[in-house]
Amino acid sequence: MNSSHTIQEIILLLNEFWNKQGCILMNPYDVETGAGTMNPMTTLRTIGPEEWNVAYVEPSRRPADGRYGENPNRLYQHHQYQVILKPSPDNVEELYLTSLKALGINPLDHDIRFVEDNWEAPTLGAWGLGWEIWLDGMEVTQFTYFQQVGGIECQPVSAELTYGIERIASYLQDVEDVFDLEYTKGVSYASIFRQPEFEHSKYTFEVADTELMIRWFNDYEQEAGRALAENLVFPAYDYVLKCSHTFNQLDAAGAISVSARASYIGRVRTLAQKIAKIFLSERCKLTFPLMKDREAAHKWVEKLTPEN
Amino acid sequence: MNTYLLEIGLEEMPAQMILPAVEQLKSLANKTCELHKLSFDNILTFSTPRRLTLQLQGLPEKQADRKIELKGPPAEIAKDAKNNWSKAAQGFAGKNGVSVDNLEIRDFEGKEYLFVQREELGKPVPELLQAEVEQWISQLNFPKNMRWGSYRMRFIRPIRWIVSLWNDEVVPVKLEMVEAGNETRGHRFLSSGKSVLKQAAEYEKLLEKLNVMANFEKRRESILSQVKKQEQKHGFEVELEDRLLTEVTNLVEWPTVLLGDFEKDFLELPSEVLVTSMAVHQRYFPVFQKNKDNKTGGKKLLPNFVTVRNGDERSLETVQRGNEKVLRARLSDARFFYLDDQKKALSDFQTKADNVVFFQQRGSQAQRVQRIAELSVYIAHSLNLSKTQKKQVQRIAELSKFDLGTRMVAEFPELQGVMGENYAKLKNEPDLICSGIREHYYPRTAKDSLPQNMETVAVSVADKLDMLNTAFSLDMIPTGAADPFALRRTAQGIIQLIFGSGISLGLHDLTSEAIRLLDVQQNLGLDRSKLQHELIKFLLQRQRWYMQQRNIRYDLIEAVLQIRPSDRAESKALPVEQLQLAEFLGKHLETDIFKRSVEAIVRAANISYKYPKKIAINMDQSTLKLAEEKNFFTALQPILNSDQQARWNPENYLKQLHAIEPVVTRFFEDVMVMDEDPVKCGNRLWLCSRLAEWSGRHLDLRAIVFA
Repeated sequence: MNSSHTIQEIILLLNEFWNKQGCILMNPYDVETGAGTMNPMTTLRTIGPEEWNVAYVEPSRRPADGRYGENPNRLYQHHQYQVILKPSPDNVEELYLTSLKALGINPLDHDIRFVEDNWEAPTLGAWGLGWEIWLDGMEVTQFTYFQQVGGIECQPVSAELTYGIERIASYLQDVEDVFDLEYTKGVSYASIFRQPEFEHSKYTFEVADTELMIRWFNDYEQEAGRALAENLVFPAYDYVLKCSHTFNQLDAAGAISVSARASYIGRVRTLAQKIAKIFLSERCKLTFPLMKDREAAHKWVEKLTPEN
Repeated sequence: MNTYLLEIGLEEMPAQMILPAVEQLKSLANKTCELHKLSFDNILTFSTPRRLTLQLQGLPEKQADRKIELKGPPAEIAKDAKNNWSKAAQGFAGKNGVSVDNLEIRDFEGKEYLFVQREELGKPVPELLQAEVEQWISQLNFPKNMRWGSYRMRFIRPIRWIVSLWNDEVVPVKLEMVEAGNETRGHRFLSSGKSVLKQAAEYEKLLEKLNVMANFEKRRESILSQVKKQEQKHGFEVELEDRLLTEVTNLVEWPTVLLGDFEKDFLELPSEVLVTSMAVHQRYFPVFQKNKDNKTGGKKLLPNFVTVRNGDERSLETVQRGNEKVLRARLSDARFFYLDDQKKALSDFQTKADNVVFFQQRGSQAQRVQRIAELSVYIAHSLNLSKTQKKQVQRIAELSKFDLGTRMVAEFPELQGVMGENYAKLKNEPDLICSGIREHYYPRTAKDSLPQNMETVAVSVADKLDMLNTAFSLDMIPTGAADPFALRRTAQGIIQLIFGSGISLGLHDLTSEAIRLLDVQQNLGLDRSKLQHELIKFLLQRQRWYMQQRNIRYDLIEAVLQIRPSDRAESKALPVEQLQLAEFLGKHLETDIFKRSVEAIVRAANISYKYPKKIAINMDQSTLKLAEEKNFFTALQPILNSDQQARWNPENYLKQLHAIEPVVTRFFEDVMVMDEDPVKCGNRLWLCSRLAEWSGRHLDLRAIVFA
């Protein structure tokens, strides 16, 4: 291995790379998310005609994957590096491969493959086509062309690149156990994350008050609806994220039966679809301010405004 | 001679869609050549994950000139009163650029018309192709298409370049996002940038230089020969499952085979777990000892795997170590699940099934298992299985789904049944029960084997029937291509089992019991006869399919299956008997005597079905006067009697059919059935209706079509 970057360095290198490509560098969202995709910087911004190029780290919570900090590969919370390129540029694959080179991964020394993997997020009414990208047999990135979000056809289409930071780091640092990773020089991953991993797992599987959480879910759902009634998309979406995380907690705790599961997912999706619709119409009212081509923006407004 | 080359350059396509796509391209090109009457020597296809390529060899410079004949107005208006060419005729000649002297008058379907012969010059082939190529691309069909960027086009994956070359000249093709040129791309890493293809004929050679094996077969051969070298070097055997080999071949442009290892300790895991981890999750080929194991008779798995890199030999060891690391992580996980599952008793998993919903409003997984068990025992009873066997059936059914609650199956869903067998063995269940847990899923495909004993067959039928019935009771009936629960395959499995294991059970009895069990258990108040009608209709479609596979003539299948609903006989006919009958009659279909018999029966059936109200209710034998009537009546007796006594069989049926044929034929020749006298007419219709009814119990001969 000709490079053994720490996690911190990997993030810095990716930031530097995507900054040069003209991306807006954003921060993780401040509400719990299950993936970088859930961050409104992706979910909402991939809807509608506005250009949007963004990159950010997203600490992603997957309660069901909690293993008390004992499993070398599974985590309650892992870190994704999320890039959205909208519209997807013609050279998007080359851009991605160049970003790997920036991390010191020379494709000639490895086996890099694009293996079909289609993505679907039933809670978001979203799906896309693309690949998982294999680095010597290990999935290190999800690469997706968004086709639909919140039930709305994506026009234009965004490319989403989701790097699994721990995966890439464990490859670069040649480490078998995620907790042996070096976060930054002299600071191990274990020293930062072992305790929260243990505590979150114990909490999720043994301590969490599931009855309370079911109430929360209902309350969040209701509050999301109230916010939506006022066309307040962002607050409503925050409550959808709360719903989604609460649902994941309940699911991990085994408190949701298979049939009830589908109905919970359906409830979140219904909200997400309403939000997507209202988000689009609110952006329309603002004449899509992020579009550089103002003429095109006005055309979109015309196209999307119902005649009356 | 000339060569045309089309290369569609794409981002990586899903492996299994590549070969069908080039096949489609080829057939589109073929159609074009046919349409324009273009001769050619050969149409070659090339394909990799990033390209679909067509090479047409030996094309002419231009289409051959053609004489075409055009039809004009009718001759009657071609000349005026003075026998000069009329305005209509002159107009027709002028429109086609010939003088009136060239007009001819000829007959066309019984009427005279004006005709003109015209020479049409062949168009240059590149010009023709240019008009067609965009059509080819837009006509390619994929199961799932996508959009990208701001383009409107939908395609399997984004199109990034197109090469369209007539010998050394670009044939312009323009899509929304790209214009065709003469620049191709080589291997993503082993070559760089764009490369000009100077001659269409040199495509394969140029790509080889750019580290792309464009020919699928050659790529496949290359993998095979590299694997063979490994086998020779190490003295082991690599399992090259065909589908996996095709998939792997379609994941790479420049294959380099490499060997990896894993820790021997992992061999303690069931071999299916190891093989699934390698083959399904990582697309590795598993490696076996060359000779069969003396003890088990099977081949022993070795702690190695073979994988194919998309690249050359450089840093091969790095690639190997990376792959080993990934596999190790997967196998560590699997081992954790395996040991964890073993800590529990089988009954713990059964209890867990109480809380797992099968279908909404149709109870839990545990309740489903209970239905399967009851239905299995019902089937076992009908199959005359012994008391001991029935107990075994019950046990297989009870344990049939416990492994769905294990962590291993949660992680490796494709190992359902296999893990059940494995865990049951560890808990010392008898072999028959263990293999039954695995095999009750059989047959999973049209070509899959059947369970090896009748105990498991009973459970297998019950499992599938309950699935089908439960889904249908919720109106989840597949229509069109949508079949998310694979119900067609499930129904097909039932039919395969009925025929393959010779089960003497009718669809009516089977579905009745399945429906009753569900209805009672869940207290649903189902419309049972409607549900049963739907189920039987669906199963009969699969039965048709099965019989077609046995090369039974279509009309014969219809004759055997399409029994008049009013006869209510369909419910009782056993599928195995229907198959026997159809196969037997198939051999006699074209004999004269059979043809005459069919004619006789069909006449009798048609006339008696047409006048049901005129048929005598109580036929008095003494009112039969004519010899033909009496003979008919006498000849009917053995038929009507024999059927009630002996078990019906196709040979007898045919014998009796042939025996009665001359009498019936004679009857129709000499006797007027629809006599004015209601008694005579009623008697004669009675004779016809009895004959028709007898024959109609087995099949409806009216469906038979003679050439």
